Amino acid sequence: MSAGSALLEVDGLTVHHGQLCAVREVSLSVRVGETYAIIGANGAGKSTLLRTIAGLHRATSGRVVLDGADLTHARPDARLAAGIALVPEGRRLFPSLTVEENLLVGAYRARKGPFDVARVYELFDWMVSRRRQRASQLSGGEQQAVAIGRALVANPRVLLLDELSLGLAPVVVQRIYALLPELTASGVTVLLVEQDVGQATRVATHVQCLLEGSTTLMGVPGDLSRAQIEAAYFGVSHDEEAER
Amino acid sequence: MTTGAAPVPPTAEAGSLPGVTRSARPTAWLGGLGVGVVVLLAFMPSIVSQADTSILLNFFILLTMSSMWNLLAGYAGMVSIGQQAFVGLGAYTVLVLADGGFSPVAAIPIAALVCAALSVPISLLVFRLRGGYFAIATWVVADAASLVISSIGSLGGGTGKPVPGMSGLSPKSFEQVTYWAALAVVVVAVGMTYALLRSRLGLVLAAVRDNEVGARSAGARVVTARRIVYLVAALGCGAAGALLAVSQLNVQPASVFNVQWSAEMIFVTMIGGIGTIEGPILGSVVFFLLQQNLAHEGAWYLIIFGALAVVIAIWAPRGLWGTATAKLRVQLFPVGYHVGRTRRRGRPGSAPPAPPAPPVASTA
Amino acid sequence: MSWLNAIIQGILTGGFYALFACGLSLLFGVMGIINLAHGDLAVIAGYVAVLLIPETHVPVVWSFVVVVPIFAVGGYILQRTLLQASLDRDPFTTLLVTFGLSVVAENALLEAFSSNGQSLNIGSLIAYSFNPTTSISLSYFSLTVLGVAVVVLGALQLFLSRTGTGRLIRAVADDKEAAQLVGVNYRHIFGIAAAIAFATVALAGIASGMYTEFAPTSGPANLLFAFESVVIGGIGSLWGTLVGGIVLGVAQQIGAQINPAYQVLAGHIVFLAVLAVRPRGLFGLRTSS
Repeated sequence: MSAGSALLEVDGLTVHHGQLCAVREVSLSVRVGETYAIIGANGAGKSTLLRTIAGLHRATSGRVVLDGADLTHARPDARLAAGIALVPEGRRLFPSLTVEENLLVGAYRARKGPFDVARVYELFDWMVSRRRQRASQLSGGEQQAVAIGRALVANPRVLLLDELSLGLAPVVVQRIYALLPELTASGVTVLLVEQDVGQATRVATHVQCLLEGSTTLMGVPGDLSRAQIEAAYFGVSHDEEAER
Repeated sequence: MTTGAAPVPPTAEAGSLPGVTRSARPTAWLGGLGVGVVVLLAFMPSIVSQADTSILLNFFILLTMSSMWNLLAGYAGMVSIGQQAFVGLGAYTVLVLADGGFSPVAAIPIAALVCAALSVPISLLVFRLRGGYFAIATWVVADAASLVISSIGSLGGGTGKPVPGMSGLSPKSFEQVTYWAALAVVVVAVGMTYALLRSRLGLVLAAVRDNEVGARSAGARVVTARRIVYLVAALGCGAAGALLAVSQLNVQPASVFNVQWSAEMIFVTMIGGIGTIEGPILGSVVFFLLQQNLAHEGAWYLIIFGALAVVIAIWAPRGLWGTATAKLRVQLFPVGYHVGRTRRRGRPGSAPPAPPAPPVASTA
Repeated sequence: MSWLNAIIQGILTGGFYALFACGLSLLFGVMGIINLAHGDLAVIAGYVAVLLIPETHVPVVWSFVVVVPIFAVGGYILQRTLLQASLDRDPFTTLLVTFGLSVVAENALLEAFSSNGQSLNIGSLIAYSFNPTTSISLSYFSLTVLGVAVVVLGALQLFLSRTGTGRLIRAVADDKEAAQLVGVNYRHIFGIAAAIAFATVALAGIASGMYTEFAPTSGPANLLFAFESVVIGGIGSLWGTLVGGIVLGVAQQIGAQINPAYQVLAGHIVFLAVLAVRPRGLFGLRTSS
């Protein structure tokens, strides 16, 4: 796999929640080493998209392909073994397990790679002294760190991050996002979902905007103007913007 | 400010506003049919043999019990395996009254009311649990009731006691009186279920069944609704138990408090179609057909029936009636609401008008 | 002094109840299902022993060595097939399915065997007891069962808290979707939990079958007592189940002292009282409401 070829490809993905169409024919292509951000307002379908890539939702149509392997019909645990790890919205740690136990469970089907429990403790040194504490007793930011660690110890090829900033203080969010370069340097490709456009454009190498399930914009943050992003985010067309 | 190019939502034409009706198709004629059926049934003792009348009577009893369980589980979401508590208490109330000189048949409504009254303190206890724990707790209550009654010597203790007060009747009159009492009970039971579900309470229950939190925040008094349903179910099962006492002229704890009543109620409702009023009717028919045909094979009809209920619960959870009507949209007892164009304008039950297209221009 | 004996007998009975209850508790804790056929499983185990002992020439007292593994495998299979299918629908369906299985099992046993009582005859082993005082009689068998219950519960607790698989079981019990995300096939874990639960109830059934008679219709009583033990002790606590079983046993024996006909009723009353006053149970970690 050469750097620059597509690692994760999503092709014409459509996902329904019952009768509601949450994701409409969305395609994206993430290359090795990229930090790919999906932005959009609440209800745009970003989390659904991510969860479908991870295998928690079944797609109505479309494909999810990882390094050439079609994972569209694979169960979530099989996708983890293939190399896709999701850090879900709301952290979803195992509340009755300790920090260390959460990480150990994360390593259950770990692939070979640079990350293990010890490495996670290096990344977050405060965890060492807290490792025997129950996960439910940690603060939001701490739980987020443990959740990321839990996904990392499986040595995923693609790390999916769902709304990291939700419910966290801005300072905490920045500290967590500051980690990303280190992760990508260790060989992890990142696909993240984020409501905070500023945060997303600061860390991402590529950005894609969703509105009501459909892609409205795609590109490199440096090439896109603020007005373009706003328009794509809110669904306001350029002409209306000028008229006001 | 919107540009002229934005699509405008279609305005409703006069006279074709969506109407809210109780059924997808006109079913008023079914009411007449229902009355006819009841009248026909009333004449049964004169038409059919005594053995068949007895079968019909037991059919009515089972249908009453199943309708009650359906109300509890299918509409209020409470799985009870302890309704036999009220069956037994209803039967024993009749015994107590008959021993005191009361007419057993006249005691039936009183027995029902006594069970309804007893259901209130019982609900205070068992409602503290939910789901499977609630279910077993109801069973414990039934078992406790059975044990308490078995220890009372004046009620016949563990071996039971005959029900006095019907000896003055000829066998034919006895057959007729008990049959008509059972017919009356089942008509009231099914009718009451129907009325309940068409009322506001029915709407509350449907809302709770779909989304309890949403229902609560919309103001539904969920616990009260459940208590009322539990009370009505106790009423019905008490009346069924009273009928057992009157028709069998003997009451015994092991028989009236037997968990087998729950098994039959549950299987009948699951197979017939849970959550529909027609379901218990269909299920009871299937049950009796099976029982009559396998009567010589010992417990086999229960094995087959139970296995059938398991299969249906997993793979056809709407039961026979529910699966059939999913396509046909027919309800003999319409209890839902349908939004459609009013009948003047064409086929009732057609789809509601399409929602307006999402605005392209924002008006912020 | 016979009151003291009653209490001691109650404690010993509690061992049996705890053994019955821990499978029920495990299934609920991990999967959230109440297996209404739980009591009947114990009875089936007894009958399986009755059938297999002549075939395998195993001494009756060691029959559990044969039966328990069979039940563990059977539990795994039943969970992965029927029970998972009903769980995929909703807990309501599982309740109904297990109830249906319970009725089918009882009636099938009635057809296959008579309604008469059976027991597993371990000969004179059952009668050995010692009397610390004239009015107190301690049966070695019951003491052994109590010991076994403590060991099983302890082993289960250790298994859950110290081993990798135990950790996975706890994780799946906490959040099965999140477990999937870290590569755990939760259906397989459910199967393991069911296997353990079925194994313990088989052990309980065999122990009970050695001590008293069992019949096709003995299942419901087992279920009710197991359930009452769990609720009294507190849902969610394994050791609470032991305490609950003992409390139930003691309540029943005291009731029996007053009047033999009140034995089971006394247990029901204590259960209902706990429900009224402290629904969480003695050591409950969470209520089921």
